[in-house]
Amino acid sequence: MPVKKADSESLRNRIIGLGEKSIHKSYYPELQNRLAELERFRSMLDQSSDIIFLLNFPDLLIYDVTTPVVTHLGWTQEELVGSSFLNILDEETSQCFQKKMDTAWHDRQEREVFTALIRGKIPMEFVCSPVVFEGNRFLIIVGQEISQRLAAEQQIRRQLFQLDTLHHIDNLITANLSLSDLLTGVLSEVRMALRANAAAIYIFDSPTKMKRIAWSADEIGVDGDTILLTTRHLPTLEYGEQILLNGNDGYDEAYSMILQRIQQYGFCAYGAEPLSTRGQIKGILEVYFRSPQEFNDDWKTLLTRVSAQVTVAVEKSQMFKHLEQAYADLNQAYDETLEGWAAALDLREKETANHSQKVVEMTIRLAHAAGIRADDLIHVRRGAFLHDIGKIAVPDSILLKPGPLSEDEWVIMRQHPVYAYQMLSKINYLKPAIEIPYCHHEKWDGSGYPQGLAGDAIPLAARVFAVVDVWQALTSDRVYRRAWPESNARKYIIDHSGTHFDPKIVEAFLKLVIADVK
Amino acid sequence: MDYSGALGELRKFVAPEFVFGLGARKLAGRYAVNFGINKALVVSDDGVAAAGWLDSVLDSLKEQGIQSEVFSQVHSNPRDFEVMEGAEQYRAKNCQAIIAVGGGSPMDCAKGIAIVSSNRGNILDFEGVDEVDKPGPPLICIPTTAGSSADVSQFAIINDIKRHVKIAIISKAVVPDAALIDPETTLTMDPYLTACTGLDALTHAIEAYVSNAQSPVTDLHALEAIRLVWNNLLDAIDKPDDLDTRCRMMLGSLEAGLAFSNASLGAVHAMAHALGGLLDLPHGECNALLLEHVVRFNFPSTPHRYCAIGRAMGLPMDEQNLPGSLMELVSGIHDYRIRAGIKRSLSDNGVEQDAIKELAEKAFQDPCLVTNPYPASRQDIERIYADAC
Repeated sequence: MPVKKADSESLRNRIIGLGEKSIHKSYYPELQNRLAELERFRSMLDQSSDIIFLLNFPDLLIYDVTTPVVTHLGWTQEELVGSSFLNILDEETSQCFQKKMDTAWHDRQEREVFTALIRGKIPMEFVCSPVVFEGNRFLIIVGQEISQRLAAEQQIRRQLFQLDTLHHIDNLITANLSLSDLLTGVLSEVRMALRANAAAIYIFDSPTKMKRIAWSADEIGVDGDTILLTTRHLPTLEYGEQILLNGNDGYDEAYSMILQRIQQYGFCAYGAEPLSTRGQIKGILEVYFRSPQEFNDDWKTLLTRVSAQVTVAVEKSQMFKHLEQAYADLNQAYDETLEGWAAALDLREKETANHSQKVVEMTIRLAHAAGIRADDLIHVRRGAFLHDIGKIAVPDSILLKPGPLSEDEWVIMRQHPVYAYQMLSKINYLKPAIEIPYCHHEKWDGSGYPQGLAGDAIPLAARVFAVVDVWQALTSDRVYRRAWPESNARKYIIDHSGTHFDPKIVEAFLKLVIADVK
Repeated sequence: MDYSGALGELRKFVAPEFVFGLGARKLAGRYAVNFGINKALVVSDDGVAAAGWLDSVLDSLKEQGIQSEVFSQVHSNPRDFEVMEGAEQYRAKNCQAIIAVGGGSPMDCAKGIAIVSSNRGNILDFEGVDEVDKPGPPLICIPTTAGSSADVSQFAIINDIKRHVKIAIISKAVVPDAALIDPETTLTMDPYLTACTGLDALTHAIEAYVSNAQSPVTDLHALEAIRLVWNNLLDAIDKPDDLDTRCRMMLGSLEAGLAFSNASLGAVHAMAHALGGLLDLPHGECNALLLEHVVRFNFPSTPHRYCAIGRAMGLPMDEQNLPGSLMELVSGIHDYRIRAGIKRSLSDNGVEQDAIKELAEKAFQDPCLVTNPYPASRQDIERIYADAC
């Protein structure tokens, strides 16, 4: 295609050097770009908190260093450039540095990391990388001040320790320890966590008086009681604030008194945090020190946090105490009720008023002799009281019939253990006591009712009760006969050993009866 | 002096720092030191290496403690991939400067390597005028022929082997930083090479003198170059070891270079580039074969300048009888090249009639045509090719 005149003119101008960009070879524009780039890069490096050293290798003279060296280490660039890098290191580090760098070069390692204390107080971490510029060997050393990092590490370690303590206290609280063990355990943890020599928990006994409920000390021989404090001494307690006392100076009268008191026992610093729940102050956690304390923020926070846990522990202990009482009260109420039921049954059957009571007592003794555990005796006792509870469901016409029962009537009569089972199995509290009411009519040879169990299949408590029940029936007056003499009754029992009764129980029973006679 | 051109027109003159004289090549080491470099890529070719000129330059570098990497895989009419290979070697070996030792081919290749090294991309991306943004690394040229003058010029001609075109990279940024022009290095040229390069220099001077971008300063160098070459080339061919003649030839080539680098060239070069690209013919011989035909075509556009050229050659010129003067000039140039040993025609060199259209098209696109004194059409160019066949 033909070259246009204008194009041709412009091309000609450029060829003869008159175009816009027709300049003689000059590095200056490019050089300026590069210099500006370097300048930018340099200021980036100078803005960094890292200090960068460039060392000649192997003489380790500082060739260049970035500006932060002034702000971080207090040297000027002029002071450092040309001097040996070893001069700025502590002696120990400087000795192994040279060797390390020689090895790094020799092994062509990419980087070497080491730490050093600069100017005796600035901890720094250095990362060294060997490099080659234009055939010359250098080390680039990037230094970072690590005091903050070290502090952070320490802080983390401390917090981990505190967390551990709090966790430990939690465990103590949730473990089923006895009351005093719980509080003592918690307090001992608290004392160690707060690095105190002694610690105490006080709770308000009355609106104005506090009682010490736990004491922990690292040394035997300090009697916590003697440094008991009362609200009189703690004017700020009502505000729920921490009290921190250290040394003698500048405290008002109330605090001075505390200090004087603790000083008598060799303590010189004191910390206290009120224990409060739902805005109500329940007591106070106190810690005592034999050496002066600084009480930094970390420590104060920890005191507050462990106090919260101590509060929980105290509450739990108090609740526990209340619960124990309530439980005991409840048990008593239950048993009184049961005894009431048994007495009512006795009355209905026209038994002597204390029949059940006697049966129960003898059953307990025999059960104990037969090896039933003490914890289970409470259930044996309840079972014995309730042995004929099923008879409530038997009509008076059968139960109270003066003459012998017909076959049909016996069928109903023999259902009373099943009625007892149906009634008691629905009551959690009485389930463990069900064996006697359900099984006391079973016989050793399997001829009993309602299940026809034999031998060891019959619950032990029921086997025990069967003997006692028959014995008691034989030796008591009945509407239709007089009481048997004991010797006859004993003979009956012996005769029925191995058929009606468990021979081992009979044996134990006879010993018991003989002992009674004696 | 004929100041017939418009003297007030803007003109620029750019020349590199150059050292001319015997032993100039041995300053390579000193220059490298002064450029602040440690390692140089030395671009050369096998012929120059065989003549020993490469070693003498390497020794000079070594004496100054400069390391060197040699790249000598350069053909005549240097090829694009050779430039890329050289640039890769330059990069891989961490070189900091380029030293070219040789004729036009190694020097143009070195210019290409320099461009690619600083600008990246492919060398073909820089075709045209002022397309080189960043200056290349320091470039020192040590010419070993008296003809190409690539050591002082703003031209780099590279062979695009896919398109079979010689591309021209024209930029002040490819003017070397220093030229160490040592006539001694031309002593080893054979008669044919001496003739080709010498006639190349003569063509440079003539085209620069008649260029529509000439200036009084380029005129001075052009005319002096014509005198020097015309009066010494045949002697140099006859007495190749005559150092004095070689010096004059080298000076002629230098002055021709200073002239054409600034005034640019014309149709001869545009057409020779097309021949070199399509048929890989030697550049100097192409110029020699085309010159007389282009003179005949251009003569009417600027007859007085052509008369001045004829007078510089010592031919009988008569301004009152221009047709006669044209005859004298054309036959004078023709006879001269025959005496120099360049006797074949283009068709003897393998140029066939049916290639002419394509050749003309390529020549028509060549930037050298822009400064030809007479605006040649495609048909004009085809006719000139046909005449030269």
